[in-house]
Amino acid sequence: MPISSYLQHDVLSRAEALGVKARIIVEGLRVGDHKSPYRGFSVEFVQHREYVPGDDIRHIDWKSYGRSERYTVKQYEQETNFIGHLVLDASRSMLYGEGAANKLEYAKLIIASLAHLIITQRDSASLNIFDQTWRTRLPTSSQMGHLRTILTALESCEPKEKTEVGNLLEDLASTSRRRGLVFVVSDGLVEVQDMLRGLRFLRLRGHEVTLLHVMHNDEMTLPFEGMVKFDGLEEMRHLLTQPHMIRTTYQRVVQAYLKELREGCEAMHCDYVLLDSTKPLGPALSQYLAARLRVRRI
Amino acid sequence: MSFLTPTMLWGALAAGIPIALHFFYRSRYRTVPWAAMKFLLTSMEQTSRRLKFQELLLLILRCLLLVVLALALARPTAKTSGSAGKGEAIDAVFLMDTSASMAARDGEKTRWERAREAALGILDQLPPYSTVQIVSCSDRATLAGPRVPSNLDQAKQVLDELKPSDLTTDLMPGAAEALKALERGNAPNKEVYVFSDMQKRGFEQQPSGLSENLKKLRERGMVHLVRCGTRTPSNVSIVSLTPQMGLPRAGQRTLFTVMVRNTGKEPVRNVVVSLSVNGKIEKGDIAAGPADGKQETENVVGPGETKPFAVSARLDKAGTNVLTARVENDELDRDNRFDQVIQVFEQLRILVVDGFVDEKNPERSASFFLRFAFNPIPVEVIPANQASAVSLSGKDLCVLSNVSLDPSQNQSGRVSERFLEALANFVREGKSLLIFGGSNVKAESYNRLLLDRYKLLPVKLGAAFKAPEDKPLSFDRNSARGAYDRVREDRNYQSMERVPIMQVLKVDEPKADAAPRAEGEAVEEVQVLLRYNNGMPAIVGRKRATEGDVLLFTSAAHDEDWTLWPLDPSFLATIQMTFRGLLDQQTPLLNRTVGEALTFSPTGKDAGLPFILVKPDGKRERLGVPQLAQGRPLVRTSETSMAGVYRMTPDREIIGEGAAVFAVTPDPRETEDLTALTNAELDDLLGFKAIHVTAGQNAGEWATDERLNREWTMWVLIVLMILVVSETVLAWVCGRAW
Repeated sequence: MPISSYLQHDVLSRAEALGVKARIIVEGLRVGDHKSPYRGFSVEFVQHREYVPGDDIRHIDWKSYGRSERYTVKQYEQETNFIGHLVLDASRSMLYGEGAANKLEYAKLIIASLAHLIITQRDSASLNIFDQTWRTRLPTSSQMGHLRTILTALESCEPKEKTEVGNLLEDLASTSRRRGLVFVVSDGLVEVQDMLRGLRFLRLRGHEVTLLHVMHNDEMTLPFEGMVKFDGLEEMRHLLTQPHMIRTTYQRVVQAYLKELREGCEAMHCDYVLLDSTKPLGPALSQYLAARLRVRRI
Repeated sequence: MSFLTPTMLWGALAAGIPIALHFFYRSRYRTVPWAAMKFLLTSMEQTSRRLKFQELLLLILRCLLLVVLALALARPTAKTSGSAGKGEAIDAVFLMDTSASMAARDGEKTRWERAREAALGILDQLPPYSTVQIVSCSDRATLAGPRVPSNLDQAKQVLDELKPSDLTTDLMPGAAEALKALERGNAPNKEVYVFSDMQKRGFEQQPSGLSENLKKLRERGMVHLVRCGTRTPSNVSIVSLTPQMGLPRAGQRTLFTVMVRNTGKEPVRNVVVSLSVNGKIEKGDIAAGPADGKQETENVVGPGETKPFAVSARLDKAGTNVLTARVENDELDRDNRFDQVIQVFEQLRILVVDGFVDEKNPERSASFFLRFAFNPIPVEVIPANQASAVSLSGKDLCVLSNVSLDPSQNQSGRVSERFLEALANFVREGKSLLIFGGSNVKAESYNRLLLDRYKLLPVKLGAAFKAPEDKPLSFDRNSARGAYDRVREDRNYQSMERVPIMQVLKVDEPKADAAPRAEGEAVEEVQVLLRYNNGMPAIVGRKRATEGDVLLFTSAAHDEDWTLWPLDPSFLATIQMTFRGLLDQQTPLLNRTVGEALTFSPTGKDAGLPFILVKPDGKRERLGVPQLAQGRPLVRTSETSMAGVYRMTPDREIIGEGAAVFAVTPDPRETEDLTALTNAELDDLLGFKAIHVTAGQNAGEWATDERLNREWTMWVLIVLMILVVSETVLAWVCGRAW
């Protein structure tokens, strides 16, 4: 798929309208739209506090001293930019789906959209593509040129091995020193606990984690009729069955899996978004971002 | 269990279709690359046992469904073969018992009416495209119709026209005919209906043959025994009608004995016997007196009892007369009428040719005792040497007593050859001849002339046999046969056993199997009618169709050296009996039992005319021109099936002129025992369990019900429906088509 195709106009327009607002204060090297937890010299006054020994005397508000003869220190809220870690699952299981409904393509679209949004806000974004290992890792950058690098990396990304998510997310958590937003785009066809373990490491590092769970509608409903031979995309095994006979059970199993994953995420205060690759991305992404703004947390 | 369309059972092989489809669908799949294998695996692990069970259950159900469908199409029935289900075309054969007993009243209807109604009911209930063939059966069977078996309207017409005959019952020929009729049908489903009163006689005449034929019928189709009688009818029948004394004479009132037998199981009261003379015929062209001798006698005849009723009639007309006795007050009227043709003589004339005339001692003459024995009939006695053709003219009987034929013998005791020639013609004309032995009778001349040349002697003569003086011969009453049957029982003949017989003529024993005769030669029956106590023949009789009888007495009628029998009263009685038998010899040909054919030998110009037969019901049958048989013109009818008076007359303008009258009586064997066999007895006798039905009001419905019950298709279809519903529900529950 050409690079430009990942930046769909309608997707981006709706996303821009809503804006990407970090819910929590992230660290940033640059002054941006995002509030910083660091107090310092800045334009936006926050509060006064008592001077305590050790405070830099440069921050004493002498005007206040003149009025009250008490030493107070002025505190300002420092605005900063954030780092968005975009993590893409490029294992073979992501190959499922035809055309635009292909999970990997859909996931690439999500990554591209997020990258565009982040970088156009002058925030930094990094790209991490994995299967069993890290296949591509692009450093964080807020340069517009970096967006092109990301898109090129997405374009050249081909699915290969099996998914190994837990350890890789742990690795990501340990290597990213600064807290930020982590967007994990995956079909999640791994052990739930392994996925949750990886997400937990990220959360422990203070990242705001969002799991964008991409699934094809077929994988949730098993709509096939007749005799079907299922060839495993990651596993070299075949299953011959009549899907309609196991459909109910299958759907029950899938729902149980989704429920476990969702509840695991919620327990760790991770955002969990289930995306159906057969449905247009725009409305789904808009809905997610709107929800983020409504639930602003400090 | 059998199948109406067994070929459909091959359809059960379709049970392999679900199995084949199962493997076919397994081999015909599409491949889908799939990511979420772990969900599939988990789902299959959780459902595989249930799925396999459902799959197996469905497979079994579907296989079973097809097997049951094939079974339903094959139309299973409860019977071994040839059975039809409801709606299936049938080749039906109706075996209608038309014996006389079927005319018995049974309640408000007769048995025949019940049979006919039942048959019509079954006809109405036959499925479309069925055929029917109706076989009428008494002791003989005929295919009554219809001409086109599929024409059921015509079959109804045949049933309407069919009437019970006066014949006796024997179902064997009917069963054989029904078998032939059944084999002519093309439909795979065949049914045989036997409409009968199940009279014992009908089944016991030829039980093995009947059983064999019915078994064959059963192998080919269903055999229904339709009982048309519910009980044994009360019945009295007339078994004989005989004049009480002597020969009936014209112009005299004669007393007759009518023997009435109760063949039923209950006494019959108020039995009324009546007698009429020429009751029907004299109203026609033949001049005869009206019936005037009706006498009614009220009486009770017990079961199995034979009771004589005395009735008298005045016989005005000489010649052939028809007496009709009737009895009333029972439920079976077929045997209530008894017709008999009798010869009424105006003036009898007997010629005795005496071969030993002793004018001085007339009692020693060969004709002496005979002259008295024939009393009151006038007898013309003529010495042998004076006997001529003229002397035979107008005579009804000729007696040769000790007549010599030997030329070397005394001229006075010998008859001329011209007389012998006339005598041969005399016998040929139907007149009778009586020959007595004696010393003048020489074997050589008798054999040469009477046996070889003129063929008058019944058997070949041998030399005279002389019994020891101390041990003379006597008659053996128990050896009496034929016309002399009465000798055995009647007390008047008891003294015969004590009569000494010293000399007799030896004769050859008549051969049981006579040698083949030349063409044109009359068929004769020679029988020893009475024997001596040493076994030698005493009286030998010869009967020839269309000729007079010849009787040979091997002892003498006059000679004390030969026998003292003429002095015994039994001689008179025997001569009277012989005389009556000989004069009335033609009536046996005129008095027949139903089932026999009628024969008549016309004389004169009638011999060249075509004859017609007028039956008791007035219907006429053309018999054609008399055919020469045994040297004489002979008209012969087919076998009679109706009792009553038949007239055989030349087909000319005046009906009745020159007619021969025949009295055909019902077969007494038919009503001898009217007991019906029970269903169990029938099954035992036939050797299989037939379908027993009693003819009733709902005729035909039971046939349909039975047909329906016999076929299990309905039940199989119900099972099939249950299987289909089960399969549908299970398939829906399992959520699978295949």
